[in-house]
Amino acid sequence: MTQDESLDTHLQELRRGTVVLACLQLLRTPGYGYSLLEDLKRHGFVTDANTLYPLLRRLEKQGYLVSEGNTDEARPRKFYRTAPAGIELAENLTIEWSALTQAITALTTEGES
Amino acid sequence: MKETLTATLTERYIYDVTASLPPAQQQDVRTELAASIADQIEARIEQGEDAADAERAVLTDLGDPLALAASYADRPLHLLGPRFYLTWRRIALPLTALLAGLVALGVTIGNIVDEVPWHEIVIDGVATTVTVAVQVLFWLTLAFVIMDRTGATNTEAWSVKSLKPISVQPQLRGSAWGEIVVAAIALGALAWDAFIGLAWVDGERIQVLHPDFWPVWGGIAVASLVIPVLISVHATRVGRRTVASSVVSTVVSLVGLAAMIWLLATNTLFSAEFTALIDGALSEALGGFTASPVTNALIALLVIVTIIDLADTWWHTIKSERLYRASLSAA
Repeated sequence: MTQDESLDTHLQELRRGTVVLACLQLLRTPGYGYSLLEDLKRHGFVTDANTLYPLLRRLEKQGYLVSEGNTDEARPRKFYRTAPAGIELAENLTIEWSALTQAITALTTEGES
Repeated sequence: MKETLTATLTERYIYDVTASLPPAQQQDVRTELAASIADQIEARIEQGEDAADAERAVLTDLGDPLALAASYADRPLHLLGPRFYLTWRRIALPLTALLAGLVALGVTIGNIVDEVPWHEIVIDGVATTVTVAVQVLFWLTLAFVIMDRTGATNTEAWSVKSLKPISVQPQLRGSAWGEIVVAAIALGALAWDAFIGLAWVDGERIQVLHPDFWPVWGGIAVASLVIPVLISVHATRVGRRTVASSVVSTVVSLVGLAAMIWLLATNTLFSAEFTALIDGALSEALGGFTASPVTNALIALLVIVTIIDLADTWWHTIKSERLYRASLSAA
């Protein structure tokens, strides 16, 4: 494995959990597959369609998202919205994220001094 | 679903994804996936891409439909997952080796009793080993895969209790002494037979081995007795079996085996007097019995013993080589 490839793997592993958190936050306002894909991209969370769609279903099955079909438009779409349990999960994940950020920052400043 | 002939790539893709999903999920996934793919294609066309190229690109990005389906259905993309793999390895491999060995041994004993020619005994033994190993491994693995996929809990998981004491070949020294003693006795017997004669008939000493045994075959015999002892002593000194020494001992035992088979098959191992003695004793005991089934059984036995010996040698070599490497990288 070249250095570039292993860098990609490490970055991927670091980003893995963040997509879930980003989805839960973005879907506080309802959205559908493609719109969410674009929103994620715009906010800097580049995600593949083939990871996002199954992920949304998994989160729905676990009760963190709720969905409803929208047949008003020409194209029938499935809209997802973050459920109360999802909002709670997002809050927990955010707390963990800031704790990690602090821990990493402490590491870096310790290393410098 | 439209007719297959007129179905677009997208329709075919969605069909492939949904076909393996549970029926309850199919319609839902179909609708969502159709909308998402259409959205993505539309966005690409708006960027100025050709419609056909856009469709191709979007589907290519989505990847293998079966992988996507597995992801939707939360199915693993491997045969046996990490939850059961190590238990499988701990149980399935030794059990396969044991059962295959036992059945092959039974078949071989049966063949020897039935006076089957030696090459058929060997072929039958190898074929039985392979067949039993494949069968046992297949069914055991299938059982593990089913347990893994049905979400059974692994009760054989590792705990501190499963730690074994470390043995860096402490048996090497003892076995080296054993080999020296056995080789010394065998060399003594060879010399005794060459100069005096090991057997006697009617008060007269006769040589057991064929007069043409010396010097060529005798030399091979001495070498295949002495070299393994030297290798054992070397292993004791170095503290491990090296790959090079095991290659040498493999060559030596194969040459020795070939020589023995040749001598037995051409009836030039034993002297005429000794063969007559054995034949006489056997036909007296069993009535009309000839030595050839005994020869065949002897050859089959030699082949099997050599195979087991080589397997043992390489098993220990690989094990001690690994330990050695591990100790090097730890240092």
